[in-house]
Amino acid sequence: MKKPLDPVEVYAKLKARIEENKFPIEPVYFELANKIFPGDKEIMPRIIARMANAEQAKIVAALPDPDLPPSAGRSLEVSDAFARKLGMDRAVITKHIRELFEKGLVFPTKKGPAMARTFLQLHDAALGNPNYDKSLGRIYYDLWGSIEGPMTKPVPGNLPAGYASEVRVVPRWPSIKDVQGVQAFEDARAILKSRSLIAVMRCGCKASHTDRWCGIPDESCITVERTAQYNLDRKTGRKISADEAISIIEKYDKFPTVHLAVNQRDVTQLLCNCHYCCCLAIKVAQKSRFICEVDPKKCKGCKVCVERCQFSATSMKKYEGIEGEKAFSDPDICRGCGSCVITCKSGARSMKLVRPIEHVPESLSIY
Amino acid sequence: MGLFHCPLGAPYYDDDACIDCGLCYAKTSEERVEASRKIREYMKAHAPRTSAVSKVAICGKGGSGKTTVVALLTLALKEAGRRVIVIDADESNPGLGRMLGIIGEPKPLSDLFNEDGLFSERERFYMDDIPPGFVSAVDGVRFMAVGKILDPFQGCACSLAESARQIVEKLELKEGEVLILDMEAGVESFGRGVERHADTILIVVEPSFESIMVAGRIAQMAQGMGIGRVGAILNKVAPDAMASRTTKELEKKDVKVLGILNYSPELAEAAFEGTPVKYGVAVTEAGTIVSALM
Repeated sequence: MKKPLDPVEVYAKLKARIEENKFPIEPVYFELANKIFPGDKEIMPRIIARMANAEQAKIVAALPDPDLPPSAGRSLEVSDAFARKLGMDRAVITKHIRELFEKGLVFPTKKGPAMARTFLQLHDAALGNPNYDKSLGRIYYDLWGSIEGPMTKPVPGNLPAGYASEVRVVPRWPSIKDVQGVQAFEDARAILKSRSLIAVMRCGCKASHTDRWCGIPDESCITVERTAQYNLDRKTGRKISADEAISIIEKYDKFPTVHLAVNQRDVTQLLCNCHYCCCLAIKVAQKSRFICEVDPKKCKGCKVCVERCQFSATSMKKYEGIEGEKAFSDPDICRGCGSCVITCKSGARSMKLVRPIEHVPESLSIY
Repeated sequence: MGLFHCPLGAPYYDDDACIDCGLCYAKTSEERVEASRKIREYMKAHAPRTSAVSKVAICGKGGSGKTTVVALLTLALKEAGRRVIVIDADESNPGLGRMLGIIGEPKPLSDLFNEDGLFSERERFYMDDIPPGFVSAVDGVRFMAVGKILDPFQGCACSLAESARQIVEKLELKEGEVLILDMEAGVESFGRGVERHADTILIVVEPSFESIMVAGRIAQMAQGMGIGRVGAILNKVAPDAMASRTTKELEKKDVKVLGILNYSPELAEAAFEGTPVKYGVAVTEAGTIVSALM
C-alpha cells in the first residue's frame, strides 16, 4: 500500500483539474443529463459529452425508437424509419449504438436500445470498461470522482439505528476457515464455487478515483451471473473459473481491502474488494456475522492491524499484567472483515461468530 | 442502489431478469418499501423448481431420525421403481450403511478427490465413472459415504463436506436415478454449500419445540439458496393430537408437511438391534410421502 494521502487535499486537486479542463457543452447534453440526474448543470452533462459525440448524442436523444415493432425483442437494432427520421445511415447508427453500449450509456431493453434510466445505472456501467479510456480521458474519470466528494475514512461507530444497508461485509475466507458455523453466504470460496459464471473486470469505482492509494490492481471487480454476462457482452472483463477467482482474492490478501456484496444471501451480482480511498459503499456496509478478537498474550505489538483496519476499530492499549502496548479491537466498531486477522503473523487475532443467521437478510428486502 | 446491486441480479433496467420492482429508481422511502415487497413476492413465487425430484437432501435436528427416514425413503423409492443412490454425508455418526443392509463400508469419497487428482477437475460424471471400491450395492441400492471423523485430531469436517458438495454438484443422474443425501444434524452443515446443488430439501421433524425451530431455520435458509422444493416429514409421532399441532406450528414458519411417519415398534426394534429396516407399515407411510413428492 502507498502512503495514505489526505482525502481533502486529493479532492481539491481533482476539482482543480476539472476547472482547468472545463469545456463548453452543447444543449443536447443538458437535455440528456436532465433525464438521469435532474438539476445538475455542471458534471453530468459533461460526463455524457465525453461519452457521446454530437452525432451519437443526437441518436441517444431520439431513443427509444418509436417505430420498432414489439416483436423485435431486446436488441441494439433500430428501425429503418428511425434512421430516415434522423437522416442517417442505419449501419452507422448501429455502429454508434454498439459503441455506446460498450461504454455503458445505452442498453438493449425490451423497447430496443435506450439510455440508462438512473444515475446509478449509468455509474455502474460507465466506469468498468477500460477499452475507451484514451478517448474518454482522465477528465472523464475526474468528473465521476468529483460527485462523491472527499474520500474520507468511515467514521468509527455504529450505523444509525434502523439504517438499511444495501451492502454487507463478506469476511476474508482464510480468517473464518476454522470457525464453526460458517454459512455458504459468507464464505467467499463457497460463494464463488457455486456461481455458474464469473468475470473479473476493472473496478469502476476505483477508476473514478484516479489518485487512490490502496494499491490494489484495477482489475478487482469480481462479477457473477448476469452481471458477468453483461460485461462480457460489451467486451469488458474476462471469464474466469471459480478457482481462478479464489486465487485472485487470495492474491489481494496483502491489500487492506474489504469484500462487499449485496446485503442478501444469494450473491448474484458481484464480490467487491473495497478500500475507503475509492469506495463510498464501505462507509455504510453492514457488519458481517463475525468480529475479531485479540489475544494480548500472543500479540507482538507490530501494529499492522492498526494500519489495515478501515473502520478505526483497532488501536493499541495497555493490558494489565502484560508488558508494553498490545492491539485491541473494539467489538462495537469492528465490522468483521477479517482483513487484520489474515496478516497477523503472531496468530493473536481470530474471528468469532457473534450474530445469528437472520442478521443477513434472505433477499435485499430490507425496507 | 446501483444496477450492479440489483437483488435479482439484473445488470441494468429492463434486462430479462428485471421485474420493474422500482427499487433502482425509487425516490421516496414508500417507493422503496413497495419495491421491497414486490421483490419478496417475486422470489417466493419464482424459486427455481426442476420438474423432477432428483437430488434430495435430508436434514433436521440431531436425533430426529434422519438416517431412519433415509432408509425408509430408499425402500419406498425402490418400490416406486426408482434406482436409488444414497450418500452418507454425515461425518460423525455411523449407522446408515447398516440400516440399509450394506455389508462393508465403501471407501470414503474424500479419498476419491484426494487420490485421483483428475477426478476433482472433472466437470461432470456419471455413477458408472466412480471406481467400484467407493460404491457398495445391495438389492440395487448404491451406497457411498463421505467418510467419518474417527480420529479426534483429524480436525474440521470441511474437507469431507467439500467432497460431498462436489459429488452432489457434478454427479449427472440418468433417467430413473434418484440421489438421497443423509445430511449432518442441525443447521451447521448448510454452511458448506452441499445443499445448494440439491433440488429438494426434506426436513425431518419430531414433535418437539427445538426440532420445529431448527426446521424453520433450515427452510428459511434453503429458500435463500433458491431451492424451491422444501418440505417436512414428521417422524416419531405418537398416535395423538401431536401431529396436527406440529403441522400447525410448522405452517406458521412457512414449512409444508409432506407426510407423517408414526411411531413404529418395528422401527424402534430395528434401531435398538442395529438391523436393516424391513418392509412394514413405516415403508408404506414412506411410500405415501414419495408419491406426494413425485
